[in-house]
Amino acid sequence: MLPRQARRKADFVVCLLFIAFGGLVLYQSSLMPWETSRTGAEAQWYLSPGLFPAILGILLILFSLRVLVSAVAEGGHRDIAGPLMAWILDLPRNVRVHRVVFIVVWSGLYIFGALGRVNFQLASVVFVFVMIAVFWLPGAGATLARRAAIAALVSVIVPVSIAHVFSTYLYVPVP
Amino acid sequence: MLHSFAEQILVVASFQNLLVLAGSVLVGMVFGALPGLTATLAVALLSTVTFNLSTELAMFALIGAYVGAIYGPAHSAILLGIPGTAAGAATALDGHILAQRGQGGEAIATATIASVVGTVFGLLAMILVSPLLIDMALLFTSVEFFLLAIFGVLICGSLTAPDMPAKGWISGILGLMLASVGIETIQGYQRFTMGIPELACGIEVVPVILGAFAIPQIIRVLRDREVVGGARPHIGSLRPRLGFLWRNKGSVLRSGCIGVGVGTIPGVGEDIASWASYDTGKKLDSDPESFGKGNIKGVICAETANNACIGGAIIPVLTLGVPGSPPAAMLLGALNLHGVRPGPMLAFEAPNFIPQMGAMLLWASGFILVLGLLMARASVQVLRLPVEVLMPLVAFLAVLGSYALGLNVFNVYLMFLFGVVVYLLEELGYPVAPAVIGVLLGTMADFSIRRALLGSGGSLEPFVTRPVALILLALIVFSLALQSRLLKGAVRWCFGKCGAARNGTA
Repeated sequence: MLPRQARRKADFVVCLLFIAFGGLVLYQSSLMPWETSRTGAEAQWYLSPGLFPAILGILLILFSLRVLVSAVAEGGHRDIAGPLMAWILDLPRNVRVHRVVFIVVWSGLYIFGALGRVNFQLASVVFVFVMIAVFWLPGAGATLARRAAIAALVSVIVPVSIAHVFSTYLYVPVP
Repeated sequence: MLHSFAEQILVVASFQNLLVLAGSVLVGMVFGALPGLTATLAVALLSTVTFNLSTELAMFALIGAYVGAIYGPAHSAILLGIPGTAAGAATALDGHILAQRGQGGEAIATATIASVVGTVFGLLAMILVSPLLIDMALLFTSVEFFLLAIFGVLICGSLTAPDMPAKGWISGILGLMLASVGIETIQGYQRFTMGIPELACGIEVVPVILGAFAIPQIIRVLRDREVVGGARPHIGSLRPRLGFLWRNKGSVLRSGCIGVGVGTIPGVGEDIASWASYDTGKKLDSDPESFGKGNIKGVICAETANNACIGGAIIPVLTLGVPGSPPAAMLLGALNLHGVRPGPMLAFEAPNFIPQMGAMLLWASGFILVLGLLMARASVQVLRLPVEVLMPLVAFLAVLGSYALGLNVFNVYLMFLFGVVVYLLEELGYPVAPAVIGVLLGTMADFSIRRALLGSGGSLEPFVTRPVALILLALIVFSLALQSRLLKGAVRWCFGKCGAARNGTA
């Protein structure tokens, strides 16, 4: 979780987004049929498909306002741009963010780019191997060759055998 | 129910069932013991593998993984001081100090017995309490079901939010919103599908839960690179302190009650049960200072409670269709996948189902006793598996598992996107459990409120005139209002006056 001060600044922005989203849900709900003769009765606002989303939209706005009030009370609305710029400027040195971005982008490539387009076993072997290699091999020192061999073995044996079990014994064809 | 339970113990004990149970308990123990893998993840991944099995066999596998994964953290908590999941964190406080003194084996053995006692306590509570809850739930109308769903989401939000309760409520509302995507059940109107045909049937629960628990966990573990290792601990004798347990039967019973009680609260789960029990044990002990310094009672309190919580968390799943903990939420999703409709009618549609679940829990507790003691020495080796190797494999399993449900690549996209959003929200202090509970209860809440209003011709009167509805409404208002400074101040002022008056009379 982010540190408290940074969290309050983020709360301020995110709650404004949630309030806008709640408003959008309310608007979309208002476009749904509120009075219909489909089931025979005259006015059936309580049967409208928009009723439940409208309630949720209102609740989302109210709860977001509650968080927004706390964020403002703790000064979350002050000087948002400064710390944000500092964080952005620090990005080239922020290793934790690099790791998160790598995981998300690499997984995204595997899921959106490879699934259904490339042979599933091959794509999975490459995905698993690169992921293990990126996080496990750096800093291995003298054990680098041993670790690389283990990474290669694990990334071939596990995905291929599990995919085989799924398709052969559980009758689930792989993507 | 007790008679049927006794019968089911032998009826379900086929070789195949017990073999699957033993395997899944082992898998669960490994998931629970390894830092970064959670009980919910174990149940979620296994539910995708068991999708094609019979309901009975699938339930054996899921119950085994659930029980194993709640017990498993005791090994890593005691031997390494690193709990595999939050449920084992309280155990680490005293357990690891005992291991450093060379009493790791004794601590593991005692934790194993405490976990078995806790599981049995929980299952007995489930068998005994479920009929009462079913009788009560049969009086529920749509009004009560709607209020129950809202109460479940809000109370879960209040209790699981690490920052402020309102964030938990927002998370719950977002979950309920997700559940309202797709063709709704009364008029067949398509809501929020954005022209995507795959969304017309609504959002699949299992990929959402898988994404919510797998993706953020993978990101966090690899981001922070939790290193497991350190000095190889000395296990010592594996003899449990049975005499000590018997002398402390009061605390065992109290921990069991706390575990079951916390388990029945929607979405709260085993970690809170173990901390609540540990804290109560410390406060009531004659030597509270010794807690956190290697007092075996700390291990007993935490382990009994977190395993008793399993039975407690399954009670509302089977009787009301409301999950008591995140792994129980996954269990509810798996039951839905297998066409089982949990709720008050379950006892009539499948009279043996609850006793069967009790029997499965009993067998699972037997397996954690055997495997827990047998695996104590081997677990030192298992705990040395690097998370950098495990996490990519978990990601692969999450992808394959999401696809396997419905053979739909869209579910994988959903799992991934939902996982990334949950990761970002968790970084901002929004808990994931209320969102999952919301996704599970959304359809029930939506359908129930409209049916309730249809029954009353649009009047809100039944919400305030029906006794159970009034209680639930009061609980909702109270849980919301308790967060307001005004009410908090009023309560504090009131208790302050009472305390002053008491002191004055004394």
